[in-house]
This record gives sequence, C-alpha cells and structure tokens, in this order.
Amino acid sequence: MKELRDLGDNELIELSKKGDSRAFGVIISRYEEQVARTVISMLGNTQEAEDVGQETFIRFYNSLDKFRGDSALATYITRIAINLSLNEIKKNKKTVSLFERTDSIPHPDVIEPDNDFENNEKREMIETALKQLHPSFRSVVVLRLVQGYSTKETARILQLPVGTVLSRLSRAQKSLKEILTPLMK
Amino acid sequence: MAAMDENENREDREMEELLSSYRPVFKGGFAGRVLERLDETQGKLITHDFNNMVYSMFRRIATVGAAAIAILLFSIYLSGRGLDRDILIGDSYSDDELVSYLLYQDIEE
Repeated sequence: MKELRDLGDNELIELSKKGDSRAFGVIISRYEEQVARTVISMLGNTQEAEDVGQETFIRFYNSLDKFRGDSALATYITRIAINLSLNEIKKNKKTVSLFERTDSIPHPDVIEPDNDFENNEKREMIETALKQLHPSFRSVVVLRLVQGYSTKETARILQLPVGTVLSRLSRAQKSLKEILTPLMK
Repeated sequence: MAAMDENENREDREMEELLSSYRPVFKGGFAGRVLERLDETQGKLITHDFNNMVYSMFRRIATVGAAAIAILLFSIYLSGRGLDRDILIGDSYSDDELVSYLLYQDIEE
C-alpha cells in the first residue's frame, strides 16, 4: 500500500477534503519550507511570521474546495502567504501609528537556528537588508530572487503587470546592492 | 568601462546567489502546531456555521411571514372593507349587523 508521503498533491488534497488530517499534515510538511521562506523574508524572524505561516495553511484548508488546480499548489500557497504577509505589514503600520511601536518584536524561537555561525551571520545580513526595502519592492525580491519564480510568475502571483515587476526589481536590486555590498566585504 | 561592468555583474550575481541561499525554516513541529490550531478553528467554524444557518432560516421565515401578512392586509383593503380595528382583529361584523343576524335567527326558529 502506498504511504501518504508518496502520494501526489491532488490525491492528498482529495483526502484532506474528506477530513484526513494526516494527509493535510503531509501537505504542510511538503510546503512549510517554502512558506517559511516567504513569510520570514517578508516579516523577519518574528512571531508574526510564524502566525502568518500557520494562517497560510489554515486559509488554504478552508479554501480546499475552491482549489481547482489551475496553478501549481506551491504557487497557490505562496500567493496566500505573500498576501497575508502584506496584510500583516499594513496592520502593523496602523499599530505603529496608534501605539508608536517602531518594529516587530524579534522572536528568536521562530526560526530553527543554524549551527553554522557563518550561515547565521548571512541570514541576519539578508534579513536586515530585506527589512529596509518597501514592502511592495520586498515582495518582488522575495518571489523573484529568494523563491526563484520567473518574472512572469511573480507578476501573476502579485497580480501586477510584468513591467511593474521589472521596474520594482531593478530599483530593489539597486538598493539591496547598496546595503549588502559593504556587508559582504 | 568593461572592467566596471564586469565588476557590477559579479556583484549582482553574488547578491542573487546570497538571496537564493536564504533558507530559513520554522522551528520543529510546525505541522503539528498548524493542525492543532486548525482543530480549534474548525470547532469555532462549525458553531459559527450553525448560528449562521439558524439566523438565515429565521430571517427567511420572518420575511415570508411578513410578506403574507402584507398581501392579506392589501387584499382586505382591496375588498373595500377598509382596515379598521375590527377587521384587523378578525371581527368583520359590526354590532348592528350582529344584532340583526341574531334577531333573524330567532325569527327563523
């Protein structure tokens, strides 16, 4: 008998629709790394990132019936994750203006620490750089450069024209280079 | 000039490589935490769905009832009897009519 882990996405979705939580657990394990990369790149190593990561899968579960398989499951989940991250940033901005909070509270337990010091240093350097970009530019960088989606796919996920994605990417790359080059030396 | 371009391209490549190597992962047990939260949320969702269903059923019944009352009143109004208090409480005979009816009944007997 086939193990759940060996099943394809569509079979796991069908089982999840029938209420098989183990099947949905396999979907989570399969895509949690991708979601982590998206939400942590967008929100940093914060508790909000973990919450948005969880919310991404909950939203996906609640919309299982609506998933028709027009796009790859990875793209569908990434779209939910990026939209929720952008919403969270907007929400945080309102909180900042109300309570004068300057930044999200760092939560070191959200990310699995890397034993390699150099990797940890690199990670922090990237997080610092990404945080300095405007969210609309950050989302393009996250999808295009961190996740490795094509420009066309990035445009489709963000529902933006390809030209806008290209111009935002070019400006973001310029800013990132200014921030990262001194740190990389 | 060519050397500058070359240098810039190298920096771009290094930056892209650095970004694509960024692979943060959630702390262990993430799937379990999601499933746990999902369990809690589903419970709330079921209750919420039930409340919504009762509310929508009540609203439908109330709307149909209100429409029926409106049609009834309108048809009474159209029948030319007007909409006085007796008609509304179901007593469509005036006192005079009632007395003559009772008298007529006595004569017949």
